[in-house]
Amino acid sequence: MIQNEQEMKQMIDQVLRCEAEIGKSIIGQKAIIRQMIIAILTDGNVLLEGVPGVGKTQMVKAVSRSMNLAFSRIQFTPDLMPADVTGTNLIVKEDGQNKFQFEAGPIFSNIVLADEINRATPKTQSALLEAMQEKTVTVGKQTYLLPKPFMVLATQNPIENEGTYPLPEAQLDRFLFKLNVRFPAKDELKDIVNLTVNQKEQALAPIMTAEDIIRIRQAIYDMPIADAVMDYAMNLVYNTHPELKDVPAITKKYISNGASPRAAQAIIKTAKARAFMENRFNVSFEDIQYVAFPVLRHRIICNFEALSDNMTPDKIIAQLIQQQ
Amino acid sequence: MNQMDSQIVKFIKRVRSRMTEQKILFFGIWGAMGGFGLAVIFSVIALFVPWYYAPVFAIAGALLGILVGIVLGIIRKPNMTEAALGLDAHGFHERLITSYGLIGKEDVYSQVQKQDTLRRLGAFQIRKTFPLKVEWQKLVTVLGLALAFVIISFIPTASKEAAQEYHEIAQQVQEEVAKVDEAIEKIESIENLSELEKENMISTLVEAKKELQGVENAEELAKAKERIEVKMTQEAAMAENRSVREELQKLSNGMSDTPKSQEQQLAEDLNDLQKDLQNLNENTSQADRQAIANEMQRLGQQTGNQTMQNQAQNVANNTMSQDQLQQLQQEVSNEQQTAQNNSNNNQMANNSQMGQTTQNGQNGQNNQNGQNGQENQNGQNNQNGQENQNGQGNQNGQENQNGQTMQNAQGNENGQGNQDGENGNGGSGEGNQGAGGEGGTGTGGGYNTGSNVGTQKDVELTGQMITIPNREFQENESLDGKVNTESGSATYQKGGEAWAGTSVDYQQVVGDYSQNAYSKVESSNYPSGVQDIVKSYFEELNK
Repeated sequence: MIQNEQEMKQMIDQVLRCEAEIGKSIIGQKAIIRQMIIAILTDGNVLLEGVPGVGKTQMVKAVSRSMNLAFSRIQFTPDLMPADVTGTNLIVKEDGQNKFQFEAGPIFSNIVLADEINRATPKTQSALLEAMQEKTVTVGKQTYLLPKPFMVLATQNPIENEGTYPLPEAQLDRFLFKLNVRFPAKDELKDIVNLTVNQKEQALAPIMTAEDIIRIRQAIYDMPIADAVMDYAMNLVYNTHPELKDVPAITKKYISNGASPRAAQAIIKTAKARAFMENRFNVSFEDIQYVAFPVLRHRIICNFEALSDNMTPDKIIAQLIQQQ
Repeated sequence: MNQMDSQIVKFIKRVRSRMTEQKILFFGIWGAMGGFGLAVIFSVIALFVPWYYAPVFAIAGALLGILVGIVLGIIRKPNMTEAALGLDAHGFHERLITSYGLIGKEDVYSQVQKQDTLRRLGAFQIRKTFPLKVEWQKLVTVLGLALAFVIISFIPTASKEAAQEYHEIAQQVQEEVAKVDEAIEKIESIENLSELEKENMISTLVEAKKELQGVENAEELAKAKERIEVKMTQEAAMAENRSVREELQKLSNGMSDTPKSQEQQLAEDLNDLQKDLQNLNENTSQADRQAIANEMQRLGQQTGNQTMQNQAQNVANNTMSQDQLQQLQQEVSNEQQTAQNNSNNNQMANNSQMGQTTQNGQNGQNNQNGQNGQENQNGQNNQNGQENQNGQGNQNGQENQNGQTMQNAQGNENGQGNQDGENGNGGSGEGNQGAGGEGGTGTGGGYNTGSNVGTQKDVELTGQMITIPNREFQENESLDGKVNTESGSATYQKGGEAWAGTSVDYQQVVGDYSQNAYSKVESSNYPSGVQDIVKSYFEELNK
């Protein structure tokens, strides 16, 4: 619980400095950096989608360094087994007796980069489910707590679909955000080349610790939100369901499945984090609109008509916001 | 509520007031647009359709529109939440609405949030953020509509004139109907009348009322009033009950467009008194006796007749002998004749004057006709013997008075000529021609009687002849009146057949009139100047 406004200001300052620090090693992608920080501050997992080489892995590394968090990377391949992710019980000799000893997998880290998650089999993908939602890993009969804070940053390549296993809706819903990492602009590309070719890798200073993150997270959760703003967010989620009455025509036309209640939760808590980063102590409509895209884009399932009309989830969300 | 809460609420209230003002302005302009639009529509309709109340409706529509707009603005004033959201929309990022939701909460976060809000509000100016915006396009539209309404309202059209005329007629009809209703009420309240008599009287009045309500233009109204006036005069002449007579006479007078002179009124009052004395018998109630006595007293004072004043008490006490009664009747008769003569003389003098000044006009002609009719009446007054031939019994003088009364009424009407003719017809049979002729000539400026009579001359006369004094001939029709007036046993009949008269050669009519007029003026005491006027008038007619 915060004690005064001064403490609150310090927290905000800390987060903003961290954001600036990450920006030193990542050229452009400011929105993605901010959204990743929001996800970390609200205890969420992020699905990053983008073509190879746009700096996804670099971004995750930068975040972990500036926040002084443990980082591990798992390259997902078709032959990756669940135990390769979670860890397994090994038989070890101790005092002349054979015993099972749990050997923790790479998931036991603060930030886990699940690179090209859609290349692993569904069985392996689902090994992440419990970790992402419950923040625990169960091996055999034993359940192990994951370190706090814990988040999965998964990446997937949108253009190579052959030999991949698209994530099922249930698993997608567990990602707080889906962030589309765009190709950098020309100037940004030039800066990236200059930064990575002519200089050594930028050394990032840790700005905050895991404890800071947990403390800030609590402050964010306590942020008040007006009923009108809450209603606005709920209406937005409600309007993604074509089976419900009084929803916009675009929903009935293009959406086959709407967002889950988890989406409503995600919108509210991430909107609070966004307001926090905007140096405010209350949530605004603008915050809701800002987080609606990364929260909803992977949770609404478009139908064939949307595909044929070239209607992406982002376009639908934009129209839903416009019609609110 | 702490100080921060109060400040926040106060600020939101100020914003709400400002937003309400803006809403009133917004809806007021819309309302004015609608109202003046409606006013223009009403005014345009009134250009083509006779609608007297169009300006009233138009102004009311415009005012109503503005009023509705203002009321809508007040009704739809924002609540505190809407006001807070309205303010937040101006860059406050929902700080106000959040603070408003945190009113009363004292936790650290709430305090921090409210402090942040108040800090932001410090530099805020309501008038700058919420200026009272007037949409000029709409305002210009309102002014344009208002101007159009004023201009259209002042464009004179035939429909507007017709509307004005209809309205005046309707008002007159309303006034006349009110008079009839009043008469009905009074007749209903007369205790001496039997139910049957009341019913007959009231049915007559109701018919008169319906006739009035059915008129559509000024001409019809004048005709209806004339018919009712004549009818009421007839009914009054036949009524035995004094109150009924008075009511009907009053109604008849009320229908007349020309007020009666003092002498004329006196003559009529004396005539009424004469009738009362004639009907006076043992069965007359004390109340009626007292009323007659009072009337005697009043008229005695007015005429200076001592006998009438002296006998009033005897009439009231029923202590009057038959001789005294006859003497009194004679006195009253004499006074009545004197009053009638005075009235006629005055009227003739007036008519002569009018005839001189407007000799070529329609009014002048009508007045001359009226004058002639009165001249004839004077002649009749002097010749009681004519009425004796009608079998009026022993009370010749009184009957003559009745006849005069009826003729007086005729004198005020343009249809007088016809009535004269009918009376003549009843008397000798020769007068029938004269009647038609007089109708045709005498009322040339009146109500088309001449042409109607002329077209009806070939109609074969069958059935019983009904005499309708003062009734102007038009087409053959069923009417109410007396049957068998020439036999001396005339009875009143409803719905009898009446025929139009026949046409007579113009020169014959003028000749008869002229001869009659000459003999009358020469045998009278009229000033020579007046006699010359009458003579020159008829000389002109003979050319």
